[in-house]
Amino acid sequence: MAVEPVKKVTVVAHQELQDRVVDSLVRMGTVHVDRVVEDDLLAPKELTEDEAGAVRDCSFGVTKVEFLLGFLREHASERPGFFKTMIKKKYPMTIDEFLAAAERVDLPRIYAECSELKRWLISIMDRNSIFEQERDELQNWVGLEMPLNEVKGGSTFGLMAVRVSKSEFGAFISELESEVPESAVDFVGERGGWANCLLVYHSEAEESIAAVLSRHRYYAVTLPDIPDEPEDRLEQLASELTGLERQRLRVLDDIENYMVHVPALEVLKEFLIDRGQKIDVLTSFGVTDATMAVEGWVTENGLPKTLEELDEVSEYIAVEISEPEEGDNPPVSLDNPKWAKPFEVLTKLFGSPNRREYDPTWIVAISFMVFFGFCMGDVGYGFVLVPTFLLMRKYLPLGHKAKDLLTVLAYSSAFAILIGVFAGSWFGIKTDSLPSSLRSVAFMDGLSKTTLAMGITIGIGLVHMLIGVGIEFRDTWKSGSRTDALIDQGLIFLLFVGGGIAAVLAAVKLVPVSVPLLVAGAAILGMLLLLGRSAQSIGGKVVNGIYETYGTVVGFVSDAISYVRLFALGLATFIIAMVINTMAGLVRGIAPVIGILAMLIVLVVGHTFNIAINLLGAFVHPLRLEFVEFFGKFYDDGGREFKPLGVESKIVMIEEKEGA
Amino acid sequence: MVGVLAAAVKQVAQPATWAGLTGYQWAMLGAALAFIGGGIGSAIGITLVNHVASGILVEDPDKFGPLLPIIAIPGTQGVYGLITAILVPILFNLSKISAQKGFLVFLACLPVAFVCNVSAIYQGMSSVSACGMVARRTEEAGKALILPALVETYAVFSLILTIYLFTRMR
Repeated sequence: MAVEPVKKVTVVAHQELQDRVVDSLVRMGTVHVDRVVEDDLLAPKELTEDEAGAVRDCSFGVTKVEFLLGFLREHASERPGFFKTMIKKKYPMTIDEFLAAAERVDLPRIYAECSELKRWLISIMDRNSIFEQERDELQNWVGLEMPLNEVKGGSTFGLMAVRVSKSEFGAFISELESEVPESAVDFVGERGGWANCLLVYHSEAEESIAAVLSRHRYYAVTLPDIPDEPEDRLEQLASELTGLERQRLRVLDDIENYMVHVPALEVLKEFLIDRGQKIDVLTSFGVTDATMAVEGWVTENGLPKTLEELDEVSEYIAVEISEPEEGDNPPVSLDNPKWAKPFEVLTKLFGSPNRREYDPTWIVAISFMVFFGFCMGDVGYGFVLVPTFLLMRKYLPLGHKAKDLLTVLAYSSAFAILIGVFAGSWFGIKTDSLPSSLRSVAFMDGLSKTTLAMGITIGIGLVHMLIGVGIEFRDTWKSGSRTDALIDQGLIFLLFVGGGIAAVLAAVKLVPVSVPLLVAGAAILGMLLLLGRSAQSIGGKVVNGIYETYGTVVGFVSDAISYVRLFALGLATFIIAMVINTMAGLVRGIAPVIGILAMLIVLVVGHTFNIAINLLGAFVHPLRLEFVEFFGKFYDDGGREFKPLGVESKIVMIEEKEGA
Repeated sequence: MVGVLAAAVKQVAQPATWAGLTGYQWAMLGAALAFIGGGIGSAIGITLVNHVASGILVEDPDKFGPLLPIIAIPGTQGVYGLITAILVPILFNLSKISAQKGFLVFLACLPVAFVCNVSAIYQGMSSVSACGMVARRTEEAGKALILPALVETYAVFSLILTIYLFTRMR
């Protein structure tokens, strides 16, 4: 239950062994690599041209793979369902299989072929679009019984295809007849509120024609320059479009054949990204003319494996192990018992502790489970959630963090069962309706024993925060500032613990009432006199003392009140469940069989909804109490997470080889 | 004589009122306001977040998981309003509640009505910022979720206060 000790490790080898050393470090996954500090002997390594080229190649490769994945998914015949889009497929494999990912896919060939398919598809779509536009236009001219390329004027006459608004067509004709008698209109047809016609006129009347047209809504239409009549051309277009559709489907079929490569491409992408990063990590190394040096950190548990594996790489590798020095900032690896290990995901959500402070993960584990239990606080819901989370953990393809989170939720849901018993909440059944045996243990019933239930949550909050103060006392004491520990944390204990114990003793009349008042008074007096000690002047010490005392006492009390939310959230869960039961009872009376069916539907849907909306609050609010009220008493974080050099991927899960 | 008696009976039979409303009406008004306030606030809060989250998801659909809790979190104030509204008929015998007590129930519903309304809207704004954090650094989604949760503290306090006042009035 502590920050795991780490050792500084320096690996020195000939530059020719660089790739094998890096490969070994990646396979081991035990060394957190840090940047080498430049000194007289060592210079930071710069990438060679080949290495820089390899990084670029990786980057281009990733771009190509992303294009392929996007292209193939866009045209896939089957769309992934909602859950598949939420939970990405995972690929468990050994590290050897992962490092051989590039060999499983002929990326240049597939990229070239798919690029060609894409060009072809675009060409088909472009031609399709052109033909469809032509078809849409020609459908307006079906009644025209002349070749389209003859719809043009000559030296003495003008001939144009015009589309005029149907509502204005009559007026248009009248004006032409009266103003431009040297013209004639051949009405071809009407479509979509527009009249399509051929307008023929003497070339000298062009301006008059334009003047009449400008007074109406019209389009001058440019017909295709082809020697076919519109009907014939429309038949040709239908045939062309059918042909294009067949081609398009053939292309889609060809694309579908490439879908089989998608899993390998997804792994290849992860491999290329990882490889690029691993080449980049070389810039953390130090070099001399002939050697390379890697500096990093290894946990005590990982040290034997590290030494053994490096020994196997070559006998000409030197490894130096040393303790962290004063100015070092080693990364932090948490070491918790198996039952608390999943809860490290919660601690790390806030930030890793620095190496000198206490790792509170096991306390967070217990308190989170209790708080979650209060917020969910129903026996029935707990019995539903525990197996649900365990089954999800077992069967869904999830990463380590997600699996840890599900373990946390499963453990915490077990506490919901326990708290539900004490709160008298069994799927929202009214407490009065429960058997007497269950009623008798329901001492935290939120509706009938509100004050007690609120008091219990405040009490739990006080204990939780005092544990935090205790941790700060321990850290301060260990750092050598024993006086500060006794004053800053000791006085809080005197006030709340000492005063609390004295109050209980006074309540049972073992001590006079004045005792708790004296204890509290002594604590507050101590705070007033000592909390402002950092100020220079006497006046400053007094003012600071008052300010710090007010902030400490009032802050502590208000933080304790914040824990009442656990009661409120638990009551919210119960009340909504109760309302769902009431609604189900109402629909039951509709009809004999249908009523029961409807009741079951209301119960299942309603309670599922209740679980879903309260699950979010049951997760977020306990976490908030941990991070703000609890961590605020002692936690400095600022630790760097121990991240050993290895394969980092969201979808590739590296497994140990059998027999390894 | 009969007319006088009839008038007296009529006087006694009419329910007492306070500022023109009966106790039943005051209590129901309080319950309705509690839900209206919380519900409207949550609707606005969630809408604010949805605008931003949709934009992020267009660019990177993989962020749906981390964003979903942030989108949902302004919705809890509506739940608190619903709970308050439901607690009124559960905890009080509305058919016999006096006008004065009905008015007190109305007043007790006001913390939820107003605080949940305003806090949900501001929590939505806070969630918008949290979405920005997740868009840039998905690994900080945990911290991003806590920030809007701080705003909800006051909504929780208002619910606690309302429930406490209800239990004191019983």
